[in-house]
Formats: sequence, C-alpha cells, structure tokens
Amino acid sequence: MVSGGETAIPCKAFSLWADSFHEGEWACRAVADMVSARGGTFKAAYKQGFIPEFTYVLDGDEFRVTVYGNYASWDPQPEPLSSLLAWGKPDLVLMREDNDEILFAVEETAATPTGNQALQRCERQFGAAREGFPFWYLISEFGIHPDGGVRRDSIWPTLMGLELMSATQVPSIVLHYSDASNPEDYSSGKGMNSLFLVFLRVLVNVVEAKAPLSGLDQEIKSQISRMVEFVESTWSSSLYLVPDLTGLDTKWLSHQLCSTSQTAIAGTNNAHSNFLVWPTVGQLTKGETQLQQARPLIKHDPFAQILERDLLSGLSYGVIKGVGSKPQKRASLQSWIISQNTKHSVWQESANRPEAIFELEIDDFPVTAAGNHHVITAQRILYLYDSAEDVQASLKEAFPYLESSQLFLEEDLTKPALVYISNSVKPGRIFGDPYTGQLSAYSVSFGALSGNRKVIAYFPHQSVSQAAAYLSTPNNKGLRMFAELTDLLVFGGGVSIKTKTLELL
Amino acid sequence: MIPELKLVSEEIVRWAFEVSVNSGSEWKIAFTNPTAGPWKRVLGIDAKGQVGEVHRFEIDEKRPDLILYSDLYKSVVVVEAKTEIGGLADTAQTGKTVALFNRLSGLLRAKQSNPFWAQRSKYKYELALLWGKQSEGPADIDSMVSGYLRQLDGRQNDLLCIQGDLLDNELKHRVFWGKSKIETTLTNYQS
Repeated sequence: MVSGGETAIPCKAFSLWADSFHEGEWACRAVADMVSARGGTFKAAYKQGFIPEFTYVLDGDEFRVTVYGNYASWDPQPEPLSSLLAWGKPDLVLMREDNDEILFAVEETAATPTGNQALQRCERQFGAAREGFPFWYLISEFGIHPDGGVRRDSIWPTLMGLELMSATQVPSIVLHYSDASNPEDYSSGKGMNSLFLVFLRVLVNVVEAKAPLSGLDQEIKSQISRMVEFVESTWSSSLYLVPDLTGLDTKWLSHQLCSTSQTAIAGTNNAHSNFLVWPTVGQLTKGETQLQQARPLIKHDPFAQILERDLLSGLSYGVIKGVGSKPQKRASLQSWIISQNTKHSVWQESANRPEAIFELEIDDFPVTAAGNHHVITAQRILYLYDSAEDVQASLKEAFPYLESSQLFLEEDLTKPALVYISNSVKPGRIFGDPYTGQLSAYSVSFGALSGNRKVIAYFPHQSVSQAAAYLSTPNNKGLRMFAELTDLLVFGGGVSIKTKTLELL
Repeated sequence: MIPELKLVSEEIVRWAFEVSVNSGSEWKIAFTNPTAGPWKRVLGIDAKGQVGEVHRFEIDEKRPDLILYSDLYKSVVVVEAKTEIGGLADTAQTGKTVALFNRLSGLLRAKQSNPFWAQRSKYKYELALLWGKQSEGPADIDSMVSGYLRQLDGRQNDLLCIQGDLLDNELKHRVFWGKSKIETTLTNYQS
C-alpha cells in the first residue's frame, strides 16, 4: 500500500483491460485529448495489427498504455483482475504493467438510465470496493425514456457510492454526463472531463512515483459534492424519504480516499459504521408516516400479504414510491413454471426433503387484458423493518414449515432488517441482471456493510434447488453477492438458506 | 505481465478488421456492435463532412456486427461476425442473419432523405461474414456459403467472406468471395 505523499517505484507502462477494444481505445483517446490540451503529445499504434498502444509525452515524462480488450481472450490474466471480474466485468481496469496492481476500475454506460438500467451494474461497483479498488461509474444523468420523455438517472448507484466510500474509504464515485437539453450526450455535463482528469493524473502520479490519487483531493471532493447535490435534487421524485446527507464531511472524506487509495477492505465482516442512517418507523415524521399507504397484492402470496399487513401495523415502512409490473407471455411463463417445478422435485428427492413443498401453477398468475400474466405479488420490492425479530415472526406465520427454525442469531433479532422481493419466475434469472445489481445497491444503501441491518431476499417464484448446492463455492456473481450481502434467502414455499452459515432450513 | 492472445474471439476478429478498415480511406464504418458503449447508432457523413445519425437501434432491435460503406466503390456491406465458422454455418443463424440483412438493407435504402446517408441509399448492398480461422477447410466454407446464398434467394450472386487469422503474431484478414473463390481486398474491391 502506498499512502498519499509517499514515494513508490515509478512505472511507465500500463495495461488498460477492457470489456471491448472500443471502450479501451475510447478511453486512451480521451486521455490523449487531455495530454494535448496540456501541451503534450501522443502516438497511437496497433501491436500485432490490433492491440492499441498509446504513448504519451507530457512535461518530459513518457508513458505507455496498452489496451487488452475482451477479458476472456487473454492468458495469463493477472490474479487481481480475475478476483475483480468475479464480481462482474467493469468496462475498464487500469493496471501497472510491472506488478499488476490495479489502479482503478471504470464502468461507463450509454444505456438510458431509466428503469433498472442504472442498477444493473451496481454489483460491479460493490465488487470493486469489496476488493479494495477505486471505482468510477460514468453514467448519463438525463436519458430519453421509450415514451419520448426525459428522465434523470436512478438515485441508487449514487447513494450506494456514498455509503461504500464512507464505510470502506475506497473511492466509489458516480459521475454524470449530459444535461437536460442534451440527454445522453457524453460531451455535455462535467462527468467525462472529470473522469479523464483523474485518469491522466493517476498515470502521471505513478510515472512520478507518487501515490496514485495524490493531489486529487480537490477534484474528488468536487465529485463527491456533485453526488450529494444529485441525491438532494432528485430523491423526492422516486423516494418517500432519504437520510440526512449534510453530515458528510466531503473535505475529510476526499482526503482519506486520496491518501489511502489502495486500502482494500478486509471483508464485510469488519465493523463499519453506516453513513446513511435510515429512521425507524417511530422516527418517521407525521408526513412520512401518512405516505405509508396499503398497496393491494397483484398476485396472492402468503408472505407478501403479511409484509403489507406489517407495514400498516407500523412494524415496517416502504421507501420507493413507484412500482412496475412487466406481465409475461403465457407460453414463456408456462415453460418457466415447468422448469421451476421440475428442478424443485428433483432437488426434493435428492436432498430427501419431502416437507419442503413448492409448486407453481399458472392459474395463480392473474391474466392481463392483453392475455399475458402478472408475476408481481406485492406492489413494492423493499420493506424496512425495525427489528429482524418481527420479520422472523412474519416468515413463520406465512410458512409454518419454518416454525421450529431460528432464522437469525439471538443477538441479531433486535437489529433492523430489510426485506427485498424479486418476483422473477424465469429459472436462474435472479442470479443475473438486473437483480444482483439491485440487491447490491439496496443492501449496501440500507446498511448491510456494517452488519447492522439484516438483509432478507425473498424469491416467491424460484426453487431453492438453484442455490442450495452452490452457496459454499459461489460460481457466479449473483451467488457471490448473495453470500456476501444477505443474511437469509427465502425461496418458494419458504424454503430458506442462512447465507452466513449456509444452513438450509 | 504481458498477456498473450489465447482466443481469436468474435470481439477480437471484428475489432482487428475494424482497425484494418480504418487504416485505409476507401471504407468507413457506419456501425459497430461491441459488447458495450456508446456505439448504438448507424452514422453517416453528409456533403460537408459532418457526421450524423442515420438510424438508432431500439433496445430490443436486432443489430448486425458491422456496417461499412465505400463512396468510392458505391457499396454498403453488412457484416455478421462470429468467433468461428460453426457459429455462422448453423442453419438457424443463417436464417436470422439473412433476415436481418434483408430488413436492414431495406431500411437503409429508404433513407434517401437523410442528409447523412442520401446517395448511399442507391448503393449496392451486400452481406458479408467474418470469423476467426480455426480448423475449417474449403468444404466447410463452401457449405456455409451455399447455405447463405440459398437463403438470399438470388439477391446476391456471391458472398463476401472475411477470415481472421493470427499469422506470424499478426492478426490478418483474408477477404474473398466465397463462391467464386476470388481473393479481394478493401483497397482494391471487386464486387
């Protein structure tokens, strides 16, 4: 680890690993523009006829960046890179060529940041912080919705970034490009310029044997301040409430981030304090309490029904205002149901768990006017409980099967809890986009990193069979993330897994 | 650590071909479809040299891997790329690729009034296949080409083939007409 101001071994050759060559070359050309604007020069060439290699000269320093596009095509892959990619593939990863140290990772997206698009990559943001690497997420602030209207980016990557940085003191910064008049335009807004200013400075710092983020305090402070401003100016359109952000000392935090830029967090078992402190039900203002109205279920579900009842009883509250439903075609739904039921019965037999009953029937999924089927149960996906004990009681009420099970440790029963629902029916879908990103963003933003809030993920339409055998050696990003950020996975029929002990209930 | 290329994947073979296209001046890339990034639009150049949008793909709209055009040869080439020939020769893929080519060429031919495409709507439109060389032989290529020409149903007499290969540590492309076996290059294009 090199902290701010200390000297290190200089390095003049860098590898820029990229999901695609286009993104790698795009980044190198953006750095070239920065170099040229500062009176420097650059040369671009293609090794072996296709590997972009940019050589920059700035203030007497010469340094080179070589792009390796398409991660899976190269061997060997540096070990730190493999560890990072296991959490999902960022678009860019800058590394020193001499010792394979990761300097930072970047996710950038041209996708319209509406719906789940922005959350779809949040597991990469979490993964970078988990592995201890600075991460920048470049995303359009203003996007064109399919209805033609202009929407602003989701609040969650930014909220998650603020929580991650405060907890881990590893940069996890969301940068926005575009503006209201120029939606989805990379050249509008401050994000692009700010990202490549950091990119170039990191290169120069390493060339000059300084800590990678040395001297970037002011820029990073501005980036964090813009994140706070973004939350403050957008939260009310999508959320009922947001924690107070005024306590964030951006000057102190940016100094910490720059001086300990390579401090890997030693795992989420470390006791971090939460930056985002969400209120208990009793701490809600009168106005916030009045906003907590019942939402009827679309499809009946025993646990979802109790979740809504608990909210009305004052045991929990909802945060997200909107709700979306994407009805599914009958033929697709039918094939997914058959697959889920088959997987479950095979598992039931092999695991000798006849009491773990789960069977979906298509007639339970309400039909829309267009002849498709609704798959959503409750009309919200998040419930914040004041105590895990209440969630435990409600789960046992919904699923008597769990009656004799201890779902949480005794000392955790008084901790607050988050219940997340994914109603997806398609087999395996919950382990991929957008659910892993969603759950990463919500778990982190509501306090899972500290362990001070228990996270329960409920999958009413998925068989436990898909997770049971794999949790001990997570072989995909979804399972890795579940094992890390949740406490209890509840599958169809109430069959559950305690993720910290891998106990199947 | 300097990594070595272990797999000439679709991304690699397509990117390397793009590099070779961009090294000359006869052809321009109107569209490329890498795994991510801000490259989801078909772009053209107007009479004043300004680059602008010709078509924007919808999120669920099928996209080709590359679209090239040459004002010199008055040609537009729509490219389907795969890591290996097997991915292209598959019957289901043949049907999907030809359907996409037919739809896309129709769409671009109808862009007469788009200032960034205009006269290119009247160019010759051709389908091309791009892949990385593995162990395939001439018979595999013949079989694939015949399958595509059947599906194209007389709309194209021959099929442009682009085979990427790592030779002497350089990724090079052999460009040839699949049926007539005539070798060609982008700088001396014989349609």
